[in-house]
Amino acid sequence: MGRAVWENKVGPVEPNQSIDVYLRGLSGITHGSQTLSDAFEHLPQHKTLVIFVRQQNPQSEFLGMLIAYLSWPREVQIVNVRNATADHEVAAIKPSSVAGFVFCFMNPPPWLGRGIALGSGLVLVPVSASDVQP
Amino acid sequence: MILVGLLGGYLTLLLGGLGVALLVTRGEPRLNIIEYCCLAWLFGTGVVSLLLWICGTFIPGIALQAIVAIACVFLGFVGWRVKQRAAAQFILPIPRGFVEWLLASCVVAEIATLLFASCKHSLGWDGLLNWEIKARYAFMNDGVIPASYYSDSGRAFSHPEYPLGIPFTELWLYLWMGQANQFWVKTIFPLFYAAGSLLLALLGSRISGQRWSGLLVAALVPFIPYFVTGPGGVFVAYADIPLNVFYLAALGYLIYSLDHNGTSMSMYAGCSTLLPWIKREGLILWLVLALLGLVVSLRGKKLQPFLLSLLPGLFVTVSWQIYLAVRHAVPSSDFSGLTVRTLHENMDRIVPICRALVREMADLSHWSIFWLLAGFGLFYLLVRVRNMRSYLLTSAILMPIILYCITYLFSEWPSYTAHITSSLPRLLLHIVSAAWLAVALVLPFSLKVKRKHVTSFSLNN
Repeated sequence: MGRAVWENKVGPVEPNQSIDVYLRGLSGITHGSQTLSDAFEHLPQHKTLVIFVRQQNPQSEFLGMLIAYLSWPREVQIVNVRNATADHEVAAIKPSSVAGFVFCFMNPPPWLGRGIALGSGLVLVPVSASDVQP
Repeated sequence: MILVGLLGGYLTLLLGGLGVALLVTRGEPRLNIIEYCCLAWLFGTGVVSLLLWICGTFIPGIALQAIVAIACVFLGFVGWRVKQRAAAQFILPIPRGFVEWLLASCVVAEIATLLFASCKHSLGWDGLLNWEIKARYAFMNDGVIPASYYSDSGRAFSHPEYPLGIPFTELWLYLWMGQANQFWVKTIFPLFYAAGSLLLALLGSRISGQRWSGLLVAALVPFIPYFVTGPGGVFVAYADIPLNVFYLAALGYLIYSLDHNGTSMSMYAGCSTLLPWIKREGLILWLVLALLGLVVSLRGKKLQPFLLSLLPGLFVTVSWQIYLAVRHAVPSSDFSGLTVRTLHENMDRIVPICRALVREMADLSHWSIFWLLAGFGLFYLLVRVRNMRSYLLTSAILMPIILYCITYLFSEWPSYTAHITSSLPRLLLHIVSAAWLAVALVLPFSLKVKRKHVTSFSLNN
């Protein structure tokens, strides 16, 4: 208990305190909740956000869940990827219903085009800016 | 304004809870003020969360907040009137002697320390993604969780099927603060710790007949590392500590009712009703307490009031399941159906599960010597004390452990051992305070026996 009392500082007293701490720790993003919400706002409304996470990688899975948490009320789909790249998984998705792809601690397929680096290990590829075909 | 709102949220919640506590225990002439503060908190969280859920089905927005606030004030008013009519008096128990003052000071200092330290920590993984997420989504939707959330397979990780006791207590504070604030909402959990610690001291004192014994075990609680800092502990804002407190309260009052004809049985009914509303595993604890309550009521020939006391818990459990079915909630994928075939197929898991249980209990970095103490306590109760209290306490500790272990026979995880590693320590948290109650009961007994032994030894020599 002693360590828990001495470690860290009180606060910050902010509405998204916990989620911001996690996003800073995982991806190095400051005010992550606001930054990510702003980024998702520019995506087409009423379309799904597809989040790719590495299977058996707790950091990647947790980051994916944080993205899903923040992107409410947009529909999300979390795809667990076993391999280092998500070529097959991305190719299998029908692009017309998708607003964008988010890659958590994994690289997007090169043919998907350049994405927006939201933070370290976190890439957003808006579907309108990409040609979803291998 | 946020702090004023937070204060308003807490005051209305406590007022509603105090009203319920006074109504449940009407007729008691002397009311321990510390006990009623704890009960006001426990019943307040239950009343507010249940009202938000039930009323929110029909009325959203500011009207919902107003109705629940009025209901809380009304409950407080009615409870106070009942107290006045019964000419009941609040009393503040003052510690007697140096030891009691020392132990009571330790308990208070520990509560203050944990309250301070919890402000330095973030909500844990489940605290954020299983519990707070529901409060936030409801807050963003006028105080009601959107129907689409329950059937949203993309957010199935947040377990939409989990009950709303904790999320809607958080929601109540959000509604009053006017924002979803992850910093201030953490204050709920040290308050659960405080209520649990004080109730442990009170119930431990009553059951053992020695105030120092109850105070001592309450002062020892934060020395269990996992209870405070572990995943599931006080700091991470999971539902396990609140569930532990409700279980302690329900069990403590049940045992106390053995020798007292007062309102303990009603308190037991009130606290156990809220168990399935706090966490899914609360249903298992509720069933255990229902079984023990049946034994006590048969012994006291009070079967009819006991059966009636089960109805609120049944109502909460059944209505929540119906609600989930209506909302087409994504079913949990953690466990398969409870079939004889699955049981038969997974019988080979029994030995590894038992091994994992022993390994976990022996993990000093999690539990220090707590389970050793609890084991000695139970052994002493069963071998030396051997009365109804000791049998009830032992059953209340062993039965949940056995039932929790049996659930892993139905685990659907790709690796059931990973399931055990991830959840068993948290499940054990639910019975920690109940086990401390056993230690509190044993301490005076063992000292008396020792003293007798020493006296007879010195007389013989």
